[in-house]
Amino acid sequence: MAEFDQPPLSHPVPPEPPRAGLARQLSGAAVLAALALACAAAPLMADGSAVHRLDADPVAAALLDGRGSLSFALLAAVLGGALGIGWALLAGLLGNLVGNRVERRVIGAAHRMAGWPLALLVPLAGGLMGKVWLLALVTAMTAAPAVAALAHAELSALLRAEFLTAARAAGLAEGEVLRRHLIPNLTRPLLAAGTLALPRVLAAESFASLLGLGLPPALGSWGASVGLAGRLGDPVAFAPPALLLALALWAACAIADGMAAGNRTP
Amino acid sequence: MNHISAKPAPVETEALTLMLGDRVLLDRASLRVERGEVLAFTGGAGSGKTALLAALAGQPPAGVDVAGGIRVDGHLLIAQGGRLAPRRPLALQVAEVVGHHLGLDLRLALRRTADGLDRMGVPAAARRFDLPPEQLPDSLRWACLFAMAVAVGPAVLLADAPAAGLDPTVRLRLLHRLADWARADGVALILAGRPEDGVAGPADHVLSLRRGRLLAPKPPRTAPLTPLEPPGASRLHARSVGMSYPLSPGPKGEARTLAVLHGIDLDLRTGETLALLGETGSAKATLARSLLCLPPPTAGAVVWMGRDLMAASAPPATGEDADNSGPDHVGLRRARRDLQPLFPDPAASFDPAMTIGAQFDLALESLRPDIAADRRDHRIDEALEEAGLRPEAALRWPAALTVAEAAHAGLARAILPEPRVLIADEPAASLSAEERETFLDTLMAVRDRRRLSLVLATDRYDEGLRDAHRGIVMLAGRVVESADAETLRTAPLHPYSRAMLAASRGERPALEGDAPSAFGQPTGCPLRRRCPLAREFCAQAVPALEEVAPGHHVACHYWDTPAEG
Amino acid sequence: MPRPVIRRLIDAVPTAVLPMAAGVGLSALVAPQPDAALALLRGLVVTLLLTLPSLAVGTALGTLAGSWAAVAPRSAGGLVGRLLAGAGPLLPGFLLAALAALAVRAGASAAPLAWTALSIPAACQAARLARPAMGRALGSGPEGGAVRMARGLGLDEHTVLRHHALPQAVAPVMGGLRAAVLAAMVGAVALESLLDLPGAGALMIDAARAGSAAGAVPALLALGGLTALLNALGLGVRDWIDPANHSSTPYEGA
Repeated sequence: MAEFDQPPLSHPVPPEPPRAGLARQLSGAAVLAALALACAAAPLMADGSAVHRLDADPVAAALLDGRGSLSFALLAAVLGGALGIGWALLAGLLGNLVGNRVERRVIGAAHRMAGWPLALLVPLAGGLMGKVWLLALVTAMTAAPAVAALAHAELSALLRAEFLTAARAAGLAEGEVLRRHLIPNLTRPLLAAGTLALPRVLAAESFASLLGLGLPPALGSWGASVGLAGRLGDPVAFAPPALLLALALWAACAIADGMAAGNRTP
Repeated sequence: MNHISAKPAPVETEALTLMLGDRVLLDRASLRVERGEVLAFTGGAGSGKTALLAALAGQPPAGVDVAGGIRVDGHLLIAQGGRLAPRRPLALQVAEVVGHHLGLDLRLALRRTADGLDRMGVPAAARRFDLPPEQLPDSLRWACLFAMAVAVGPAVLLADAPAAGLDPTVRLRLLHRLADWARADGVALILAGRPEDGVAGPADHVLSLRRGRLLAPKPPRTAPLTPLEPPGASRLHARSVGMSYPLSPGPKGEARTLAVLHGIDLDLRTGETLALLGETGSAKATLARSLLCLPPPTAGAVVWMGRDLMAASAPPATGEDADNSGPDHVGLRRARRDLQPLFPDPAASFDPAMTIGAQFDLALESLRPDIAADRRDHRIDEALEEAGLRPEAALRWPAALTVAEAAHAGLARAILPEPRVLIADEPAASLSAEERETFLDTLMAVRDRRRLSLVLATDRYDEGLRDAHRGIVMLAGRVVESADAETLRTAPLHPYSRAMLAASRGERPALEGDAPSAFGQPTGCPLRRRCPLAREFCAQAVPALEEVAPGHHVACHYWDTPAEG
Repeated sequence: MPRPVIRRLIDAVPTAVLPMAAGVGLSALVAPQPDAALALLRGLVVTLLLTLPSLAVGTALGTLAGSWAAVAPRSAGGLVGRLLAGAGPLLPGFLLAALAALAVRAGASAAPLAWTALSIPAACQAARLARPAMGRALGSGPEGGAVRMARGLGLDEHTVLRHHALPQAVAPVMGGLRAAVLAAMVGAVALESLLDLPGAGALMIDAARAGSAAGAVPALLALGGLTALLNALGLGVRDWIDPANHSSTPYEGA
């Protein structure tokens, strides 16, 4: 009888590979959390009179701007991720109920839309509509197709997995298979697909604000400060928000990439 | 031959030692391969075959230290996997290599390669030089690689896992042709591969690489582990089971289907082991899944102990809640408990998000509600031990299991609900060498202890029939021969069975060319383009299965006539 | 022009040319200014001239640098490749556009700066995709099979790198061209607006600032068509340099 406590010499147990992307994901999350904390604490730094932002020193002003950028990005990312995941789930459901052709159409639309410069819609919406919640919705919509495409790919890969056949061979009804196997295995990949929205909405909002068509000035935004400083030719006012924005974008990308890489089975 | 042996041999090593870190891959081996000699190394995964061949070629892999003397004349190494640049036309790559070694221009290089393809038996119609290798069938890619070697004509050819992954009949045909060339042209040919890859067949000498030593290979077990008991009454019946998949609609919007399984009849008796033998495209895996109704076949009937499984497993009408209290669901669940599958990729058949024990517990809860919850752990431990694992394996995650452990865990899950039939689809496909033998021995021991019926689908003819009562040879979704195992192992009648038998023994199979794809099946007999017995009539009718002796059925128009000139 | 590029361009007519024509036509019909259609047409040409060269140059250089980073990570070229691959998400096009605007205010000339600002993100993206792919092609995994085979067959190292390893690094870059095109479009719109270049993006942003949907929507449509055109060009180039995507005979008469 085979015992596997001592593997045979011809089969060295390979060292457990570190989970791909975990380091990136963690460092991204740490940087983003630090940024969020610093931005939240910024009013304490700007000696009392935080309202007159132009007089404050550029670092404190940039940190104040970060509150608008980050909270808007978080809101739009949650919205966009939810929209995209819902899109993918709807496609899967339609494929089950109506037929594969409908599913292919629905997800084909997402693929085609992801190839469009949707980010251009955000400054347009900022200029033509002006309301913040409408802007958030449009920003979320720009990220949703990419999320939907990835989430649907993950979903259909999971639906083909052999262990679902094994579960059916164990006599589990479809509802049980869904509850015990599908949902626990879907959560991570769908979340990973959802995080894809974060860097996209942050970039889209900063782009729109850079052109002066994003968040209203009262909220403050890194993009708006960078754009203003660039127009005025003021490198001292330019550097802090630009650096913070670049850092936040890098962190958001690192989280999204790390989630996607860690989720992929080797 | 004196004038040849007077020269030094093209391959000589003196106390060759290979170290990977502090692990000895090869310990002081002295080798000598003469011109025209064919030598095969066999060994399981990770035994150091690739490192040995690469060291002989003077390109040891990173991290491998080489000590001792090596002398190898002008050599060519065909690396593992047979990959070429995936996106360049094959013609350019072949011409590049031939031209590089012989200093020829493109046209002459291609002509030499064409001569090489003749020697590999590739018909002119199959030569599609302008495609990149990833768009060519694997068999043609390997034939081109061998033809390239033939065109270059090195003094020594080293081939690592040559033609691995091809069907046995195709692989052995190519390997024999390569060995013929080496003997005729006086090339020292060194093949390396897993023991079950059949590289030993065409070789003059075989050495097995085990624990750093080159030893004589262990002959595989040929007799059953314990004498087979006679089977009992027939319980599982399949009647004209057919499977077809929908294709995209045709140009006029008409529905199209691709039939992969054509009306198979099959009976399985208690305690009987039935081998389903066939290569790629034979639909043996589809048949195995159809017997389990996972998914149910599209035609025919599967009856287990008098209950029609297809009716039971039909999905409930839309809108109706899939509650499992209906009589059909009880019947299906009972059948699921009795019929358990073994999967070709055991590691993928476990949910990565649950421990092995949790999945076993779920399966027991579903299939054996009569076992109290506090007794389940005991049952799980028993099943794991019977399958050759330690009870602690229940606490591990599927990703932490080795391939062999996953295979044994798959077996443990299958025997957990105390089934009566195991339906195994290439259960050892992911295992090699000793691990493979260990797993199959465990499977047979479990079968004998529990008096299980076993359906074993495999493309290894000899190995599948070794422990079986009966065998069915399948080709392109049809049964071409069925008989008791002893008859199939000693005197098969169908040309395809004979070719599979020859390939499994390392001999030259009497079939030419490659298997046709599922979309391009010839009319009439699916084997006729490869068959040595084929005549004009074979194109006109699919041969029916006829009884040629009691219990021995063959589907061939000319099984009793010798091959034409 | 190579045949696969032409084929892709013909395929892209409905998605590329129709939106551009619709945008120009719409602006002729609804835009308040009389010469809006002509301005939009001119703007499209400016945007194309801004994006196409920088995309091509940036992607080519980024691919080479990223591949070289996997071959010789410590050489100068390898360092550049690693830098580009690591800096990717730090340097979005619109941020570089703002930086360019700052430099222009300080007295630099606009056009070369604009091209540079647009080609850096493309180079980063290409290097980020090419570097790991090249590493896999040269490594010990299954993707390294082609390189091992080529070395085993006795080809010289230059041929191995050029024909067996580099194509495996180029393939993912070509697959990621769509994202690079999108980033370049966004960057171009920001550049045109900040540097006051007469491109279609600047027209769109100016109209949006003025709150004029009639001016902004046609420009957006036209920019979408331009994106589709660039995507089609990218696909055509992919087909052209990657023979796996077409099976014309690459050798004559053999």
